[in-house]
Amino acid sequence: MMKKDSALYKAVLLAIVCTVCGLLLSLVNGVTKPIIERNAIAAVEASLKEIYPDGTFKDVTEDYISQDETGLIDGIYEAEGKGYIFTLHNKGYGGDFKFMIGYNNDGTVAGYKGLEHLETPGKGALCFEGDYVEQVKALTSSDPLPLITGSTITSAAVNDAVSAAKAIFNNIAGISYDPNAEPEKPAEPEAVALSEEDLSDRKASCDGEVCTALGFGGAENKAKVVVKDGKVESFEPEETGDFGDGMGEEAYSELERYIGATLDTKIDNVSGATETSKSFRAMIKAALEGGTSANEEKEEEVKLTLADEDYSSYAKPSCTEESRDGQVAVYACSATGFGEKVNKATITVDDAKVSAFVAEQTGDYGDEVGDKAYTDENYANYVGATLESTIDHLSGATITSKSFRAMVSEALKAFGGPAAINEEGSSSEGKQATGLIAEDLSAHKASAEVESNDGVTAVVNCTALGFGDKENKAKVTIDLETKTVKAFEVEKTGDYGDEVGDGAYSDDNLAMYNGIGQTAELDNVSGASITSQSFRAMIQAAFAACGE
Amino acid sequence: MEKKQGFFTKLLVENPVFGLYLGICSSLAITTTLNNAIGMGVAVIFVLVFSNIFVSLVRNITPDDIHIPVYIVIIATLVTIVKMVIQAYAPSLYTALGAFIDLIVVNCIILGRAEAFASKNSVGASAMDGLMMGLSYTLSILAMSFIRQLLGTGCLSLSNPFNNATIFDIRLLPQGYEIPLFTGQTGAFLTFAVLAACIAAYKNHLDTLEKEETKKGATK
Repeated sequence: MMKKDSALYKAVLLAIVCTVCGLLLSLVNGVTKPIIERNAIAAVEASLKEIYPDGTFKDVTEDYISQDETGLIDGIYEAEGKGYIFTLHNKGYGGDFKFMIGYNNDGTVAGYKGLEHLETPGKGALCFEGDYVEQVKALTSSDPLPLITGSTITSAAVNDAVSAAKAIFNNIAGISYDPNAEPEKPAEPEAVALSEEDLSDRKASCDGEVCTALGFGGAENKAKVVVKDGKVESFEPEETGDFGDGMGEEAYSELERYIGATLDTKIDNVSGATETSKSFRAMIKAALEGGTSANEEKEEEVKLTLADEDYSSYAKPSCTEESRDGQVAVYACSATGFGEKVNKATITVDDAKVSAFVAEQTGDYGDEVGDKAYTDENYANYVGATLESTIDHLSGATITSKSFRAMVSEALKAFGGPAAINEEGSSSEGKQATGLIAEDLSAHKASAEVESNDGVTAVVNCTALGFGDKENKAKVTIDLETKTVKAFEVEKTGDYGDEVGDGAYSDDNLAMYNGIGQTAELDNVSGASITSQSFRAMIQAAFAACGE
Repeated sequence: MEKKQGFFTKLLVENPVFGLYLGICSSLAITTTLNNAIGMGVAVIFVLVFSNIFVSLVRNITPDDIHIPVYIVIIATLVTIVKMVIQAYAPSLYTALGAFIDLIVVNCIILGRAEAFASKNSVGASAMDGLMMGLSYTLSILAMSFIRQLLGTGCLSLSNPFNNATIFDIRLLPQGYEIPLFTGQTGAFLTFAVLAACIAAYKNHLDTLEKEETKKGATK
């Protein structure tokens, strides 16, 4: 038996105690470790499953986190056999945000999702929504993330965090890449003319030559703006307000773009200094308007009646009468709207008053700029209008409103009296029919090609311009002995499908052409004047082609 | 009757927290809710009982110069086992107690009892001592938690740490009348001070009674 006091005894005792304790510990560890791991994952598992719905996950943070120098990685999870998911955080514009990004083992992005953030909707929040998410998902672990214009801080922060994740993932997966690849600079949105741009949120105002407007983070920017003859002669921003944030500095040196600007000039944002650029534009707009840009209405104090307003220089409206039934006429009108695009509308005039106004969602619709004008609410503004009315334009949709007013004015002018109608050059005098052969349908530029002529019957292929100048086609079979139309078969192309003239294509209506001679008096199909005219034009041409 | 009184007196007077002023760190830090107090108390009882048992078992074969490392290894092992078990089966308690589970190792009560009692007494007695001390500690921190939670949040609540099911949650003070001071560190010290003073007063009272008894006995 060893002596209790000997060093050996003590050493042995200590060793035994430690061994026994160690064994006990590993025993308990074996039992509890899987449970602990499962618990740890359970908290994030729901989120992880959004990227790999069938995955089994393992928390491998401890294994790799030491490689991360940035401190932005919260967790690393391995989806067995599939890839890795990183949960990351960083500081955005509104505070800390958390998100996760997953990479498949082959390097493609498996998923990207924001977990929590306090970003501004429409700006920083875009980093975690819709299009941007899709863009990220289409990338690989070697690509930098695109930046978003107007939310530079947040998208740059996201990019930094993802770079940290990429570094570790590419290390694990053995993918080589360039860690210093610059992210794409975002495409700046197309600039809009100052007069059209809604800068009211900048609350710009000018006191003589000194203007102020809200810039980045709501800071008040100041500038000296000198305007001469409706143009900006000089623009000198003070180095206060949002200057010094480090974000929009470039905007304070890129000042050439403002010199010589008028209300119609389109000025681009300075990339990475969207807010500051906007504040500058707001100040310039206010200076040019000689007041505050927040009150667009002030500009249009003097409203002109529809009869007096001059549309010839811009809107250039034109209307064709679709149908006329006594005091009620329907016009298909077009006018140039925003961005040189052609707007169309159907206007019903009843007794020299507009009874209905519906604009087609084409032309400048979809630009977002003038879209407010395309609502039933706005259309109601035009109902009841006469040539003596003045109609307000819709704030933020000035040009579109003008195009609408132009169309209404034109329709009303067309309505008022036979003299006005002739001005239009419309070849149909209301619905009254004329003898076919005497009718002037040259506007429809009908053409005819004889397919067969056996002396008894002739088959002629005809074309003529129908509604919207679309080419209608028809096969006209003419009985040469009686000089009448034996059959009229029109193709369902050309202006068919517009809904406007489709009534003319119905079997019932087509029946009216059977058996007619050259002096027949044919009615327009109600609501399909132009199509009907084109049909008659083709029949005319068919007769002519048969040498009659 | 005597025995019972003795039992309770022992609990109160030889209270490790308010009587012997041992293990104050944890009593100040975690006594914010009843749940924490019960959780910590059970952990400490477990460690105390088993460390006393093991220390008592090895007391005769451990030479004096290495008895501290031996005791510490034993205590640390037990605490680690407790920690792993809590982490696996009661994760919410684990998050609430946090680092203080590890700090049970250096809780003076454990090593104190090991040195003072378990190294000199039989296994059975040591186990009993561990249990008593543990219970005493638990009651002390329960008292502190009761006061602090009641005054600090106005509610008293208890939930099952294994599945987070609420056992009860009652509001005793109307909303707006709670004193958040008690949930923080200042409140901890205040509560501790008041309770310690009460126990000290009671102790003095008992001492006075005893003196009178012996006096009476002497004069008899």
